Amino acid sequence: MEEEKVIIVENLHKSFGEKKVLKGLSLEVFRGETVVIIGRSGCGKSVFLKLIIGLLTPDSGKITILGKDTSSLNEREWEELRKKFGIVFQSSALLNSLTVAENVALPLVENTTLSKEEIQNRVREKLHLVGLKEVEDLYPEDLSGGMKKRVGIARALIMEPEIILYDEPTTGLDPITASAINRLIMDLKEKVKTTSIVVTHDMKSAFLVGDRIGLLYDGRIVEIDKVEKIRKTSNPLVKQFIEGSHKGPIPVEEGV
Amino acid sequence: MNRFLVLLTRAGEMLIFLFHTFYWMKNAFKMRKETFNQIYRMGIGSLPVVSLMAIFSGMVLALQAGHELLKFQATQALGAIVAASLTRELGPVLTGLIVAGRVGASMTAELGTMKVSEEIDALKAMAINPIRFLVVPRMISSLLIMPILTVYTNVTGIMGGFLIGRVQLNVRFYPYLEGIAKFVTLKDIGNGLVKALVFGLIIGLVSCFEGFHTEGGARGVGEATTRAVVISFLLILMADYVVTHLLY
Repeated sequence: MEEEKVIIVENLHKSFGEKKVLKGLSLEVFRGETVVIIGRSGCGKSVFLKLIIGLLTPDSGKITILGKDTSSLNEREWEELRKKFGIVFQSSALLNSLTVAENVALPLVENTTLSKEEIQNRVREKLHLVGLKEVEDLYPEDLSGGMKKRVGIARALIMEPEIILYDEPTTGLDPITASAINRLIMDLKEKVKTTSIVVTHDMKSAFLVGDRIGLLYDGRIVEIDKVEKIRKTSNPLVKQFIEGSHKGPIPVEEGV
Repeated sequence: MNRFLVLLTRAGEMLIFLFHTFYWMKNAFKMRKETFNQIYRMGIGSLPVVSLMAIFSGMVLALQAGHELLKFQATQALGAIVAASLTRELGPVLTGLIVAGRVGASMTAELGTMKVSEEIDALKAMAINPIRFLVVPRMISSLLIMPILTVYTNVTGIMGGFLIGRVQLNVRFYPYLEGIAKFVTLKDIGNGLVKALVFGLIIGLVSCFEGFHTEGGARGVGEATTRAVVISFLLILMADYVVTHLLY
């Protein structure tokens, strides 16, 4: 039986002014797997996630999500589709004017007709799932970076999405918190069985959480394969990236 | 030519933004809690500075008019002059400028910060329309607050004018009020409130629009805030002329 393709991205192009960020990116994501996209800072990983969820529109190329060609969706259909997504932002992107509980509850309050108690229970359940307790009434500014990330993950999970997108989930965290977040992403895969895309440049995290790893370089996925195979790759670009060397085909200098 | 096109595009975008805001006002009731919150912050928070501004404007008007009136032995007209200037012109305009500087700037800075820290993207990603969620409460509150504060400015300014009239020109309270009642019509007051409403629309629209279109980090927020205040000021003064022309 062929596996179901949840996300199909074909030949995606996106430029900002003169700068071509994506130059023909293609990718397929199967149900239940975690695909990790690695790449240097500023290579377009976040742009790619925003394209998938429709916060940006591609210049050309095709994105099919759960069998729907996204280029033909109107704003209302997009909103319906987005309810099937959870996205964890790099900066957590919690609303500063709301408490932790209100932040996590927000999608439920706005998009469903659940009762207050039901929402409260779900919020508590999700916060528990990400390993937080007694933080409901705190404001985001009272939390550490790692806690904010966890709240961001809890918020992404609250609608019980089919697909979760993680934008740099471990960047800027201390190694212990980063490891806890990795553990959390792996646990969620086991427990909730969602399909995930993780973009990161943290190789340790990539090897831990990924089923497949792809390298985004020069606007394309230059290689994508199972974790074990990526480890033994002969591709010099991938090799240089996973070894974290400044010597190799990827130049250190960058320019626009 | 290029600059002109950019300006035109911007104006068009702003108009579309306004249509979206009006469209989402259909869900205004759902946002009532946040709307009350905004009204409280904008309205009550502005009272001290508006009070000071109003008192001194009234006092200056009385001072300027009083000396001329004394020459003609016509100090009984003081109330009418102060009140007419305030209700027709100075009340809405000065209140508009103060609210644009105080409330508008803070709205732009707040929304701009939300934009650059991806909070607005996060709302969209959660299938929550950011215009409905963020702009509608601010717009409604801006539309409500401006007429209310304008009435407050008018009353306070008239009191300030009386203070000077009483102390320097020996005008009594009853004749002062009588002068107002004789010369200031309901139409003046109504027109002043129409202006206030228009200015409220300008402040809400420009501040939210600039906040939503903030790019870059802290510097971008600063630039957007400055731009919002300057554009609001200019539009208020221009709209003042247009509305006056249409109403009188």
